[in-house]
Amino acid sequence: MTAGSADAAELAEPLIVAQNIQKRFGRRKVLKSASLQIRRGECVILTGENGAGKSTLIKVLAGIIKAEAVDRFTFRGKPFPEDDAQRRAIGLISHQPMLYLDLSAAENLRFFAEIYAVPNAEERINSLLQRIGMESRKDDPIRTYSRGMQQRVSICRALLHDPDLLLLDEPFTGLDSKSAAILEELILEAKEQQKAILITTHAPLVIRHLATRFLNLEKGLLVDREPVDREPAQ
Amino acid sequence: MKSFFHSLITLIKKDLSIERHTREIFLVMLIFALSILFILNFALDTEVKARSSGAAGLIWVILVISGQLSLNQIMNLEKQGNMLEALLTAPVSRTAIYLSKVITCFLAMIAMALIIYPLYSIFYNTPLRSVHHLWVALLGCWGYASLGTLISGMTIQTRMRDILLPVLFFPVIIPLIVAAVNSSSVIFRGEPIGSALPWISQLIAFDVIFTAIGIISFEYIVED
Repeated sequence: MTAGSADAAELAEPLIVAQNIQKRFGRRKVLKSASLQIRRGECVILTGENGAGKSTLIKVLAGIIKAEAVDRFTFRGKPFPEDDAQRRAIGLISHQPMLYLDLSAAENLRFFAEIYAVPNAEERINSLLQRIGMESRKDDPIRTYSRGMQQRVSICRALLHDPDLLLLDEPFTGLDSKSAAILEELILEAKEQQKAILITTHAPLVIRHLATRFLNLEKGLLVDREPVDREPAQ
Repeated sequence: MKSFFHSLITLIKKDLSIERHTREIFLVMLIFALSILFILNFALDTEVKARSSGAAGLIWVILVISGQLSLNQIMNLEKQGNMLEALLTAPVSRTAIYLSKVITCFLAMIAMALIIYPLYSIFYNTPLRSVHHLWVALLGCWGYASLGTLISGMTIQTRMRDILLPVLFFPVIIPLIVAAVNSSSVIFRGEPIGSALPWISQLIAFDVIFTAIGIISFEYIVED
């Protein structure tokens, strides 16, 4: 369901709520008690040191790994993960392209369109590829693309099924200025369409203009914190 | 249920499409299997009777070793580029992911069996005698694929996956191989299929048990 079809009550409620997420790897407790909620139209920038657990939090929110314990975890008002409709409403970009390297961009996107049951798939694929300037290379295998080009196709994959929640794990890493500008444009557009967005980054100042608020992950806890100017720029 | 089968078919089609582009699974298996078959030609006794008595064991040794190459490759497809995480985020049942890998591996194995059985028969002058070999191959390859995919799913996330897979896999697959070899031997000797029923029952039991374990546990293996 897109924001356009969401009713007023649903728009008022946070799209995703997670309270006291705990996750441990071996003896190390990465997430001690991480709580967050994101409303539609919000773009939350998540910062934190290397190894703080940002990617782990994204993976828990995306339903890739299970939290060890969580008090409340709802997405679109229902416990998560409960049904396929919830998973269909999440778009994820990670450090890695999440694309089959031996298939072309078009074949990858066709596969994901099938999996997500995207209506008018071919039209949607072509319009997205045109948007990111990859239409002319769409039939080349992904392994022949540069890192930035792979990331651009990865953006298409994440947006293909028009998700309500976008989880972007360091999406600007490895992008050239042109690709970064396209991604910024798409994020702003998603915000306008009342989608909820969570972005992890080490350079929050660079994308400050996209943010509605900032969170920092420290010692397994999420705290509200505005970035300060001494932080490194990308 | 409809979406389950739709996902399953889409996943299998994707694996086959990658194989069509790369030919990294079947071709590698075939070259490996033919090499062993060729080497055996020099290593074995030239007497037809001796070759017949060892036929079942040798064919299954070839299938088991070449099959391991397919297990590595099939799960590795999902390791590259973090594809397993992409699938886990998607509205795809974990059972569909598991079964798609089992079916892809099974198809590679059974295609290999369909080549190796007649080739062995021709090269070593050992008559196949019966089409019952097909049932044994189907049951043996399914059991191999169901257990192999399960263990491959466990080891794929580890740094030592190439070493761990055979170390964990081969001890557990022994009952299946023993049953497959004994069933095939009965058929090679030209005895009635009824004589192989205890072994065939063991193959069926193995297939059912490990397919069920795979379906139940794959979700926990890949999500944690």
